[in-house]
Amino acid sequence: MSKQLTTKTKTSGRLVVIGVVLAIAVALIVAVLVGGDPPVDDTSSSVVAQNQPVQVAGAALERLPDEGVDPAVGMAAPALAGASFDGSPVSITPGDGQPYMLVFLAHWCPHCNAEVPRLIEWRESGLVPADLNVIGVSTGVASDRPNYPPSQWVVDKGWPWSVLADSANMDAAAAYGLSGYPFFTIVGADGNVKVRMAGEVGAEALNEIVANALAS
Amino acid sequence: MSVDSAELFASMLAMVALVGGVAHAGGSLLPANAVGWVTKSVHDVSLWLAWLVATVATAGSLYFSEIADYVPCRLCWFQRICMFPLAGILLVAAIRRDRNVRWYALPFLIAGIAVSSYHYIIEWRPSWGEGACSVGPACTDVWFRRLGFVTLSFMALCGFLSIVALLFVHPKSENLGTTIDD
Repeated sequence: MSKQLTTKTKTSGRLVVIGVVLAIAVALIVAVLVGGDPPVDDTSSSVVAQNQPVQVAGAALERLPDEGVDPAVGMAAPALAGASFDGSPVSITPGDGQPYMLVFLAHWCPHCNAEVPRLIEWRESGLVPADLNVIGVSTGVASDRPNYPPSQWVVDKGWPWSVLADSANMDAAAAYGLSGYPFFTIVGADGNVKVRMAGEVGAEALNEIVANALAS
Repeated sequence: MSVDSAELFASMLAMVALVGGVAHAGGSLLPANAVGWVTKSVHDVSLWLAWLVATVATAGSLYFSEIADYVPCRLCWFQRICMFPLAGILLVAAIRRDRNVRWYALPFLIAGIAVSSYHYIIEWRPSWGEGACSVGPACTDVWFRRLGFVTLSFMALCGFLSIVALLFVHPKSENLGTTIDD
């Protein structure tokens, strides 16, 4: 009796193993037949450069800490000289008498994708201070991540302000102490850093932050 | 095999593991009949099947990070910490036929299910996560989404759930109407 049970157990176990092997084999065959590298469509990126060289003048800011006081507040912001995707010059020259708001964006970041429409809505609501120079900085470019190329991404999102294409080494991001995406830096008319922050910001909060920063 | 094919293959294996685990759990609730026989048969080799799931999950994770260059984020590493040891623990248990391994594996399984569930949720709802993408690999970043919903974290979740079903589900005894726990 026990020998019969053992034999039956072994047989049923073998059937399960055969079933599992068959399932794996079917999955493999389907994956090989159906799967395959998707065609690479880089017609747009082949014409437009996704990174541009960036010249940094001035001392780089320390990386924004995750919590606590920002050591860069009150320090002179570095100047950036670069170009947009199409090569047209874009420069950030703190201390030229106008305030700046730099928005560092990564095309693949879900939070950046959520934040851009809010910024556009903020602009369309007429709440952006007239003298505030908003510049987007495309950085963290990765060809194997979503929404590449960023040159097309900013068009698709309807970004209305100038865009500085960061270098492949992320020189602009490093100069401003980027700690996450999206990354905001408000520079006052005096050329000093007023506030830095990483992450999504609601429209109302942004309005208040900008107003307080420019008033300080 | 291309990376694209590997993604699809791994996704299908994850679905097989999930469906198998659910079917095994559901079959254990049914009285002794043809379906109950299948559940009993699976139960007889459940330790080996659980080891297979853990090993394939481990191998797949290493393939995607070391071959496909998908950089693991922080949550990915937590899930790896929960899954990788199971491959070794369950191998020993399968060889020794030690079903008590389920209690040693339970903390890894609970933690793995919790982390992979959270990771999967924030992939769909990034705003529920940390609010910002990290400079390194972001946990809200989705390397791929096969079949419309299968991501790496979902595959990990399938693995953990499948192992739970294989280790903790016991079919009813044909004669006594009680669960079998050898």
